[in-house]
Order: sequence, then structure tokens, then C-alpha cells
Amino acid sequence: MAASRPAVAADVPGGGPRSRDCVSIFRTDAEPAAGGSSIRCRDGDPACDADGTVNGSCAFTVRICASSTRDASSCLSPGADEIVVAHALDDGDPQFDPDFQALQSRVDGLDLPRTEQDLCTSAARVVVPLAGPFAGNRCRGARKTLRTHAISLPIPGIGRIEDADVLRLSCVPAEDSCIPTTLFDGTFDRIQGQVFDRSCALSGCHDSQTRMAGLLLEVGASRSNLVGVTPTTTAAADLGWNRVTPGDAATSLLFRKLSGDLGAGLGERMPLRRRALPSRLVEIVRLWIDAGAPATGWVPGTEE
Amino acid sequence: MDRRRFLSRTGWLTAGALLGPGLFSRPLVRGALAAQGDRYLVSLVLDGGNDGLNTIVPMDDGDGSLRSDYEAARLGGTGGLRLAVDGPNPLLPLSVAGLAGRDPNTGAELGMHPGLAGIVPGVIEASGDPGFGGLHALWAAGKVAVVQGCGFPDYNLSHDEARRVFHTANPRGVSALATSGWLGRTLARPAAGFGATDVPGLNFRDAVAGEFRQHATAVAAARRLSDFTMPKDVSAYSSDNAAKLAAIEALYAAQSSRPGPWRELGDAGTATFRCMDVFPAASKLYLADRAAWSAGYDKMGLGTGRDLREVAKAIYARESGDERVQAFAFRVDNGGYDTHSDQGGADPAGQHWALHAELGASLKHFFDDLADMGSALDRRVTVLVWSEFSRRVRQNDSGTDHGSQGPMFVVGGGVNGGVVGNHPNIASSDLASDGNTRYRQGTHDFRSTDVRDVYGTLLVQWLGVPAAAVIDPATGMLRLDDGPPDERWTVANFDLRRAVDGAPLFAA
Repeated sequence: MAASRPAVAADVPGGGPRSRDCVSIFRTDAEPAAGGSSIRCRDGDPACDADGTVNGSCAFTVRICASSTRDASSCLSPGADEIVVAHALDDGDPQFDPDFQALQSRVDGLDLPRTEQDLCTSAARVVVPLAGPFAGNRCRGARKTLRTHAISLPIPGIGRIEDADVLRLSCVPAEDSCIPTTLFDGTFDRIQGQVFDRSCALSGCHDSQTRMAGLLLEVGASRSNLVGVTPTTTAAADLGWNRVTPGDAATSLLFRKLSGDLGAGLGERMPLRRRALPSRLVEIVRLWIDAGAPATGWVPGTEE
Repeated sequence: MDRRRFLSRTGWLTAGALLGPGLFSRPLVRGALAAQGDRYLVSLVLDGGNDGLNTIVPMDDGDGSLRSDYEAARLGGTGGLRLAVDGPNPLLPLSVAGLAGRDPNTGAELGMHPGLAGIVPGVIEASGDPGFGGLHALWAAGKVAVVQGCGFPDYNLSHDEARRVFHTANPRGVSALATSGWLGRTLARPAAGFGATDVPGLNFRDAVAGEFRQHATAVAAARRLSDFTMPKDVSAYSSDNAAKLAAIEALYAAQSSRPGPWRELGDAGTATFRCMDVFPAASKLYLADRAAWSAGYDKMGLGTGRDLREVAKAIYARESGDERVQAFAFRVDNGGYDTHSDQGGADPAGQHWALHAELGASLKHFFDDLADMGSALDRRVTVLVWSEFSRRVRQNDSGTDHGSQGPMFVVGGGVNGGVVGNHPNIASSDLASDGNTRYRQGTHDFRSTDVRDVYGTLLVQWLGVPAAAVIDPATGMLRLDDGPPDERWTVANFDLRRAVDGAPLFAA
């Protein structure tokens, strides 16, 4: 791995006809592959991962620039009227991504419509966490797809130009780097980061805006909403179960929901209408509950 | 032209009753303007949920543990949001010459987010730059009340629900108050004397904001005063544009004597035409007379600054003697505060810093502009800065999730600057199960400031609304609700005072 190539700003037009590709472009600190719209980064590579450390995720630095002059002979925008980042609205969109929201906030800060050429936002970070860690201290690569839709100010006699762009950001693991005890502070921190943050505390589900079934699973809120708390599912409450019963996974609705081991009236498996969690993660949740659901420290058997 | 564009050109209006020519010959309107003392109110929202804990920040523990609790919840290092007491970009202490900046309950010294001081790298850096010094300069001049711990019973983590409560001042959902806003009810009060085609409120956004909603008078919404123009007919028959407009205006006017929705439509149309008569001209007047100040807003290049310039234009036209401008209540939005990720701490390139820098610099330049207009205008305009909720006490990887009570700012030369109300208790042992601070009333040490107390104080002390009218069961703007006895509202609640010496929120 090249250790310390300096970051160079690269302009990524984002695809579509060249004659319309200038209303909005991406400006990144990492080079896309062969002039395309995809950036592939190895976790910790300082040339593309802005946090520069092997930490289980790649942080891509992305700006959006309006009315780019990089290919002025093919496309000239008289100014941008509006640039919309997809999945940036915290309104129950299951694909809502706070990083896209942060980018949209920066676009809003441009106060469009504006006629200036090469008008760029300040830099935002789009963090792509690796999938994992899985058994054997392995992680898999992961990807986020950033989409924008931009409309220019009218050009006399032509009208407005619309420009839809895509930037694919892929993170691949560094060798021998996916060790849970370096990525997380303890078992519960691992469950928060690897289960709740990725599969539960999502817009429209157990996030602060929605709190489905009265359950909030975001950082700082999740544990006290689980441990010793009676579930809103009546059938489970009637059985005397808790969301998490310390020391007893069998009477913990969280574990039953994740494992899919549900009787009548106990509702659907979680995550709802998504692929079931890998069995290894469900096992980690079971071990954590059976060990008393501690807030800190590593429960034996959950470190890898 | 799509619907959104059409509406943003022509304004979106709520409407009501009678059309009357010779507006200011009407004694009722004259009386209303005199009663509120030619004072102005701007509602400025930090939309998305401002992180209050990183806005007004404990700098030490005082007699409690606020700073220690803060440092436990807000981390240092990469992605950490902790604001430091010293080192690069430190917090700015509220204790400055002549002003006490301590939390009244714990005695902790309070500091202001450094970005609020209005320094925007590359834009506002030198003391001569417009907006330099930001909110901290206004604070040091005694023009800012920091009202801590503002919220409502049973806080709500949904943006829409929390906004609804802030708009209606109706946390318990009393049906009589559910469809109108607290400022709207003020404008619609019969004693205010505004008719259905009068426009006492202006919102610089795409639609009328919730706190202005009502059905007795008109509130106009547009991004810019110059947007109040009808799209021009550019066809072969463009020479008769004036006649076409006159015909449309007559059509609207004719509906005002018809019942129900026809009248509403007619009144809204007539009010829109009135806006078209008045506001583009007001904009031109300001740009011609105050070009240097206008250039200052452009130099800052900040959206909130540009919106506040529209407020300045309306005020300037009215103060210049254009009696057709009735607007005295305004709404301005500063969005982007929903900082779930990549919030940024003390880094000037960070998201929260940029938002705060925009707010601070924009307010500073706006009040400098007003002061320069003369007629003591900087003392006759008050800006209420609010947000639908604060954010989770404990940060996530690089941001914060939705929270509960947070600070509001009351800004203006008429304000007795200082700290009002208590900082919420952020000790992890005292947080609610969702990790947020608790709303409290009664004699609790960490008693919260109810948002209705803030509104009531503004209405009574600033806009001169009789206190009894604020809670009057029939016409009340903030009515008694069915809460527990210590949460019921009385006239005495509408009297927020500076903690250190008990001075009222507004100077006499």
C-alpha cells in the first residue's frame, strides 16, 4: 500500500451527456478510477481516507460545485438554480443518510440560485463503514452511492439544463485490520455500532424522528430503552418478558426479534423486511444479554 | 412554471375579512400601530434542531458538575464535538465587563460557541468586515438575552411535532389553538385592528410559517420582496399587461363581498396585489438609499444575512414614511441544524461552526444596519432566535441525534442583556431513558424555561399585548391547558427576568 500520497482534488462530473454535465459536479480528495464516477479506497489509505487511520471505515471528502467550467467547450451553465442531494431528508426515507444530509446542508449554504461559475460547497465527509467484522476477524467492502439532481438557470432560447449525477464510494478493508477489540470499546459498543446503527436506528424505524414501537436505538439512548424495559408488544409483556432481560436471552424480546424465534402475537422478525442479521451478530447479542447486558467491557466470546 | 415557482413569485397568503380603501385613514389600524409602539419582531428559526449544548456551553463546574458532565458526553479527538475552554478556537466566556455570565443554578461559567462570534474564515476576518464580532459583540454590548433550557412538557423528538408545538404554543394539543400560531393569533386579535387584506406579517420563505397561521388577516410569504410581481405575459399581446393586471385585481376585489371561500380567495388576491404595489418599490428604495449597507450583506454572502436584508428593507420603507407597509412581524429561516453526522466541534471548517458563524455575523450586520438608519431602530427591533429542539447529550460518532430543551436568544437594543433561566441538567444519571435532558417546572433546581413563558413575555413586554389577553380563555393566544397545576399558565409566568438582578427581559 502506498503510504502517504498527498490528497489531490479531483473533479468528477458524475455521468450523463457531456452537454449537460456541468450544472453540478463532485470535487473529491481522491482520484476516481479511470475517469469514471467510482472511487475505491482502502481503509486507512491517506490518499483517499480522510481519517487516515485503519478504523473500519473510509471517510471520503466530497464537495459539490455548481456551474463547473472544467469542460466549458461542451457545457456551459449560466448558473445553478437548485441542487438536490438524494436521500438527504430525515423524513422516514429508509435510505436516508445523515452524511448526505450534511452535504445538502452545505449546498443550502450556497444560497442558490447563483450565477457564479465554479461555486463550490465547503468539504463534507461521507463515511462508508465496512461490513463486519465477521468471524475470523474479516470485513467485507461496502459502498455508498451519492446521487444529485441539479437544474440550471434558464438559457435564453434553450431553457434549463438538468444534470443528474452519481458518485460511487467504495471502502475495502486493509489487510489483517478488522479486529473488533480495536474497532470497538466493548461488547455493547460493538452491538451499537454493528447492529443498531447499521440496521435499526434508521429513518422511519428506531430513530429519534420515528421511534417505532416507542423504541429509540440511537447512541446514548439505546441501552436504557432496552434493559429491564417492558416491551409495547402486548403478547411479550403478558409473558413477563423485557426488551432485554439481563441474564436471560430467552425472555428478551430483542434477541427473539433478531433471531426470528417468535411465537404468535410477537410480531415480525427484525430488521423488518430486510435480510436477517448474520448469525454471528445474533450470537453476540445473546452472549451480551446472558452475561447481564453490561454497558462496558468485553463479554467472553464477543471479541472476534 | 411549476406551482412552487409561481407561488414564490406571487406570494402565498392566508386571508380573512373586509376590504377597505384608505388603509391608514382607518382609526383601528392607526390605534393598533400606536399600541405596539412601532416595535418590530423577527422570528428567526434554526431549523433542524440546534445543538444547544454546543451553543451555550459550561466552561467549569461551578458548584455542580456541568463541565465534567459535558466532557463525558462530548468527546475530544477525531469526530469529537467538545469545545475547549482554552487553546485554539476556545469558547468565549459570557462574563465580560458589566455582564454576569454564570448559570444561575449551578454557578458554572458559560461560554459561547466561537463560531457565533461571526468570524467566517475567508469572508469575515478583520474588524472592519461586515458582521465582525457576531453575536458575542451584540452580547458584550448588552443586547442579547440568553434564555436557557427552553422547551415544553413531554418534549417530542420528531421535527414536525416539535415545530408544531413551538408554532402553536400548545403542547397539550388544545383543539381551539391547534390550527393557529402564537404570532398569528397576535396579529388576528380584534384589538390589533388588522383587516383581511392588511399584511402585518411577512415570511421570507416559500410558505407562511406555522407560528403566523390564522384566518383574520393576511401574512405574505416570499423569498424576496422583489418576488412580489406577477409573471409577465411575453406574448404578442404584452402591451396590455397593465389592463390585464387591473382586470385580475378587479376579479379578486369582486369576490370579497361573496361568502365563504370566495371571500377568502378575493381577500388573498387583493392582499397579494397590495404586496405587489408596495414591496418591490420598498426593495428598490432600500437598494438606492442604503447601497453600502446592502453591499455589506452581499460581501458576507450568507443566506441568513440576505434574508435579514429583506426585513431591513421592509422596515426602512415603513420608517421612511410609506404608510402602506404595515408589516412589523417577520420570519426568517436558517436551516441545516439537523447535524446527525459530521457536525464539527471547534473547527472553523465544520458544519455547526459555519451555521453559527452565519447566524452571528448576519445578526450583527443587521443590527448595525438598523442602528445606522437612526430613529433608535436598533432598539425598536427584537429578534427571537429559536429551534424546535436541542440535541442528544451524548454525541454519536461525529454528530448528535434529536434532543430536548435548548437555549433561545432574544436580541435587540431594547433587551436587558444577560442570562435568563437555568442550564438543563446533563448528568447522565439524570437523563431520561432516551438520553435527553428532562423538562421540569415548579421549584426544581433545574427548572426549565417553558417556551410559552418566552412568548408571553415578548407579547406583554415587547408588543404591549395586555397580559390578560394572552391567557384569556376566549381569545387567548397562550391559553390555560389541562396540565398539572404547576404547569398552568398565569399572567405571572409572562415575566421572564435576568437571573443576576431580576431585571425584566426588556428595558422600559
